[in-house]
Amino acid sequence: MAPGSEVAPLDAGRRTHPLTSVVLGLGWSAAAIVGLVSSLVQGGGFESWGLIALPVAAVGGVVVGSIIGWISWRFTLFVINDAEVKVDSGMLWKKSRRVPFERLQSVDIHEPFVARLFGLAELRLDSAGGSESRTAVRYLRLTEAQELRALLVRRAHARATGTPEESSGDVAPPPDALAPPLEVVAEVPPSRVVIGTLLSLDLLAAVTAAVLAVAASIWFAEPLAFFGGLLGAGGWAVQIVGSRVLDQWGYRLSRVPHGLRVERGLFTRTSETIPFDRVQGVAVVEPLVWRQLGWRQVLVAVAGAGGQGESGEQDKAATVLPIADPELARLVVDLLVPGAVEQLDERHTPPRSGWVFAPIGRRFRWIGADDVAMVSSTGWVTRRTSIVPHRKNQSVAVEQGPLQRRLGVASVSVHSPDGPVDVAGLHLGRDDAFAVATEASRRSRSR
Amino acid sequence: MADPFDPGEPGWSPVSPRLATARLLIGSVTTLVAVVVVAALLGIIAATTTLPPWWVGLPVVLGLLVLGWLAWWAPRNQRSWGYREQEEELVVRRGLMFRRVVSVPYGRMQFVDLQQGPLARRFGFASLSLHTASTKTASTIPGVPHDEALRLRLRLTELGESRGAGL
Repeated sequence: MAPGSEVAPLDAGRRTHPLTSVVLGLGWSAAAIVGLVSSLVQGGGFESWGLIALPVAAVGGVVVGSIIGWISWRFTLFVINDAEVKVDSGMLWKKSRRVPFERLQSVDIHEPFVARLFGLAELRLDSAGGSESRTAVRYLRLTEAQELRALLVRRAHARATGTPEESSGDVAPPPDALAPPLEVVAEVPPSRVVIGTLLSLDLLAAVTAAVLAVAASIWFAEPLAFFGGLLGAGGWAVQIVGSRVLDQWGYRLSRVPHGLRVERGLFTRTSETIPFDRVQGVAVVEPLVWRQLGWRQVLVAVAGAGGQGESGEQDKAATVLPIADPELARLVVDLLVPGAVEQLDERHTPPRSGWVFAPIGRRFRWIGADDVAMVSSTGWVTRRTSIVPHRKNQSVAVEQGPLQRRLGVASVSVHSPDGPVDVAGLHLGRDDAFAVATEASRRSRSR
Repeated sequence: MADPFDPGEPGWSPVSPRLATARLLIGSVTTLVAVVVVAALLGIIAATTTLPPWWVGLPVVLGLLVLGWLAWWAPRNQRSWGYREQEEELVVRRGLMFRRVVSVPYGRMQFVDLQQGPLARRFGFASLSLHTASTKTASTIPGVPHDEALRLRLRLTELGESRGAGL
């Protein structure tokens, strides 16, 4: 078979891009260098053999990685036919993964930094269900990945709704499938993300810890503690900045036919789609400092996003808006859960009798129902308002421990798939808790 | 629902009283083995070192306490379990000390699991797990009599299919 992968028809099986092996090799090389450098740093001294070992690791990583990458590329074949996506891989241990279109939850494009340098991207197929629910096709040309995503999304949607696909039978996507991103809902400037990160409490804690560790090591004249403190707490601070600023650089939220698309990242760029019909709930988070400035964050719980990728990495980000004004946040919440009201007039609040459980937090807790969703709010440092649409409410529970019974309170929780959204009324009056549970059940069945 | 926490309320289907017997059996055997092992170890230590021999009695006393608690807890906990099939949802109740009532709409059930270990098979009951898209539902009913468990699973699956809204 010719090495060019573009000519092969989709339903007969296609190879990924030949440069995949080089990208994988560079990844190995980078891992080898990072491992070596960290072992050198932890070993204490940078000895002369390090100067020889580094290039050896770098070149060796590329060579070994490329060979392994080439083998894995050679034996990887993906097929898209009328019913499913199939990915076959492995030389000695064969692996064949089939994802029927009706199980397909979302299709995302991920561009890791190294792959991005070559103009390559990874296609991620998420299906519902626990671990190993992600299938990755790596790597494809970015345009090819985008075309395939458009095709897969159309097929999956046609399957889900039962309507015939516009161009059934024709495997190649029509030229207009690669329409430019539709209406942009929001663009978050990097400066905003940077300021927001600098004003967050955990970064403040990390920096304080680093400063304290350094000060203590100087005070007690312990040079080892100096590095330890700096590496530990400083590493934490760098990780916070890295994960927020780098991941959310160039953040853009736009509308696509059946959902929202999130594009983000400075070095590694991802493009994820949040289908409207998979939204299980929305949370609006207002950390202490941000609240004074009127800023907030919008998170979303999506069905199928609870699982982890093949490599066990952190799954799909749940962030819809990393930092936004109230108006924009409200607009996005309304797109995700149309008609939901973030502030309710009729609220169930915990009674005074249950004060021991949360002396201060008690005042900020409430739960209630509007026409479309159950809403609850909690937190006096970081305030979190959770919204679960009635028709996505999975079950409702009322719980009561011995102390709660003595105080005449009980907790009610509305269950949604695991994620950032958690609607609950903790330590409500006992009858109130049952009233909320009954209302939640009643409303969840009426729609 | 007058008082969903009250176990005496009519309308709840109970779980098999044999659940208490089975749990008592497993608990007693485990405790007995642990007591014998620990007592033997302490006996060897006491014989070879200066440890006073009455230490051997310690695991025995602890074991008796555990058995006593088990004999009190097992029937009480068994009686606290109950479920009721309402028009649109299955309601499961459990616990006396830590009480929980969970209501799962039929349409939200993704699948229903039936589990039966060797001892449960002997005693003729099974445990039934209800799974929704949320792990927080955490609803496993232990000790459902075997035939009833089969009936319930069939019924829940049927109802789930007819009312399923999917995700």
